[in-house]
Amino acid sequence: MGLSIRIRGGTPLRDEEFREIIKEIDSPRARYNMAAGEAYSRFFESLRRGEILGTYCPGCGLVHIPPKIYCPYCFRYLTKWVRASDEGRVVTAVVSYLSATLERLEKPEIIGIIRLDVPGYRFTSYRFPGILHRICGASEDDVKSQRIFDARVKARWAPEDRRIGSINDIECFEVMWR
Amino acid sequence: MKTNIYVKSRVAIVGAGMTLFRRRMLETPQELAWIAARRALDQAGLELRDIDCVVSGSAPDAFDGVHLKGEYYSEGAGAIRKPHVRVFVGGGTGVFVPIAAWWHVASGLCRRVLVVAEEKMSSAADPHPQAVFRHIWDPFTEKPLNPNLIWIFALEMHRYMHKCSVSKEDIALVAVKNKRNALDNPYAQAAANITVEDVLKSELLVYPVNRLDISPVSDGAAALVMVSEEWARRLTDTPVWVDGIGYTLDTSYWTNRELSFPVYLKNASEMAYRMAGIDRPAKEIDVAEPYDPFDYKELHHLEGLGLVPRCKAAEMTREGVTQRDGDLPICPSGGLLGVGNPIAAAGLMKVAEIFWQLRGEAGRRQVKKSVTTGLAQAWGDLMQVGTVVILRR
Amino acid sequence: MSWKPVVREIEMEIKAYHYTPGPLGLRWLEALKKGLIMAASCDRCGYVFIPPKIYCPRCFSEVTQLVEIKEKPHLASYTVIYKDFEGRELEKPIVLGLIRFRGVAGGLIHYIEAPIDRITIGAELEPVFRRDRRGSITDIEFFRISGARSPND
Repeated sequence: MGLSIRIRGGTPLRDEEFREIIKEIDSPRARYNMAAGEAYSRFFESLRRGEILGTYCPGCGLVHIPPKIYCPYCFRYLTKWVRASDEGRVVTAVVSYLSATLERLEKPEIIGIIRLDVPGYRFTSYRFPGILHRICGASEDDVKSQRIFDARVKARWAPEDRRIGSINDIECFEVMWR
Repeated sequence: MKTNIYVKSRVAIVGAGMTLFRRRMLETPQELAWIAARRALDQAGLELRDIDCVVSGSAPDAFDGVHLKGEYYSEGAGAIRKPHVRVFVGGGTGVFVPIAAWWHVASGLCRRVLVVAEEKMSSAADPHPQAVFRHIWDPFTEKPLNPNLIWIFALEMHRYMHKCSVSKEDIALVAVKNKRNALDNPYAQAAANITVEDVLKSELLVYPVNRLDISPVSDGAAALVMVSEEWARRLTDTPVWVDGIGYTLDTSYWTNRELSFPVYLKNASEMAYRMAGIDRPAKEIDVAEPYDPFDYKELHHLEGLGLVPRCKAAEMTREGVTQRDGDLPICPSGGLLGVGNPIAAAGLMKVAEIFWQLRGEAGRRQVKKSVTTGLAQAWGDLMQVGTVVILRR
Repeated sequence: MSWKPVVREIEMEIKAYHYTPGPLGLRWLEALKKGLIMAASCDRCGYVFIPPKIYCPRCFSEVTQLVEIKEKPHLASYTVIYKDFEGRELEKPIVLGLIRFRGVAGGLIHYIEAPIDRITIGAELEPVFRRDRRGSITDIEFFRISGARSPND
């Protein structure tokens, strides 16, 4: 029968072999209804009104955005809701040439982590209220040159009648070049 | 050798085995697990009936496409009418499996444990195994942005480059080194002789990540046999002792922390160093296999492990220190970049490599210097888990 | 509560899974396509079993042989299904059987075509193959009761 499979270490298949070989094909059918939970529900409700809310932890001084009802670091129940500004700074940014389904995008997208300002609160460089979002008003070169790091950004909101209580109620964070 | 923890029995590895790592394998998940398990048993000189417990690990069921896949492949992993547990911490699983097996032996509960990690990513064929990662995002704050998995790594990589003033060229040196190391690894999927320029010219996916910065999708399995001290001395003259284990999990809220340094890994490695009685890791670790799914992660993890001062890993790589003939050989196996990335099996492959290196059995991959203490590390989830084992001869 | 709970619907990420049968499974399905039900046979310990795989579940050695099953299949157990996946009443109830072969470890699950009141555990069966086969367990359309009751019941 030829060299033992366990000695050979397995039977690799080339792409074409995989396509043609006898196999079973099946599709999963699960659909999920996800509940946002207490904190997120209130967060999205306020996004619709054009406000970004967070919860403050008196134990570590962090403001959690998006908000949580507990602080994961201190394990306390959080009850103080604060309003963040819709401005902040770019912590890191990248240029994506691929869509979520790995197709090449017509127009590359700039994505970043934005550290939001919360009036009245200061944070360390280790832990801060940071969110993932699209960045607009910047070029690929701004990213590749790292000029975009630490740039000031401000949320560009979707028109009020098009907000539905979603992270996309903010269209993107626009770079405010001085 | 001092160990700073009370144990009923010291724990040793006496055998290791793995399958080929390839993009698509014909074998079923059970059969992949069996090939690796059988080879580990063969090297240990044991039969399945000699094993009293089985610990296995595999990443999401969504890859192999069978729910409760731990139970599904368990027969191939030898868990037939034996105590069995499956562990899972994302990419960290491969090094977590021997950690969980360590608990079994150190406590005295089991004496001869079969340790298996398996992954068959090719089953998730339509559209592509990477699509499974679409489900790791927060459904409310991240998924609606239509994210692509590579975003996270690109964001972390770019932050690291910015904070530590590291260029893409520096980072590409890791891909070049590991893929070249893999040329000597008979199991390797992606071994190649490439240059830094090849990496920079490869398809730009999400700046700063190019295609050759990433490890491939793979099918594969790896296995170890871990035994008590009494059995180690009976079975072999060269047991490899598992003297330190460490594991730490951070939150999944990866956007609210400084990404240029993996704090969770610092905690995990300190836990392992403390247990193994290591005060100066940079001096006392002879060879290491940190987790390298992306080339920049090798640098990132070397710093998190304390093997090199913060932001200095690139310099160390440029100077050739991490080559197989260097002072601190890193990823002599070829790493994930060169050998392949069947998620859970990849981490266990690294542990197997250190095991073989410490016994002088790594063939052409054997590092130049004499080695007695080695480290293997894996990482997983959303910038979350660090798992570390320290092995000694 | 001054806020409304938010719920989002999410779909599974993988559209379809492609499952390969393994080296021995491949040969088994090819035999099935030819109308033959075979079993795996371990050279080392003599264990004969279905479904086949490249390792022996009894002695953990490598298995490379398939053998033809000489015995006729019999019904080891069965269940009657009245509703479909979504809970709707089926027009005609479906009978699912656990089919075993004497001298072979393991068994198959498949449909049993017979009037429900004639189905008894231990009944001898025969497979009815489809005309168009592709190398799948569904190349057998169903098992039918062959009339004779097996002697050992």
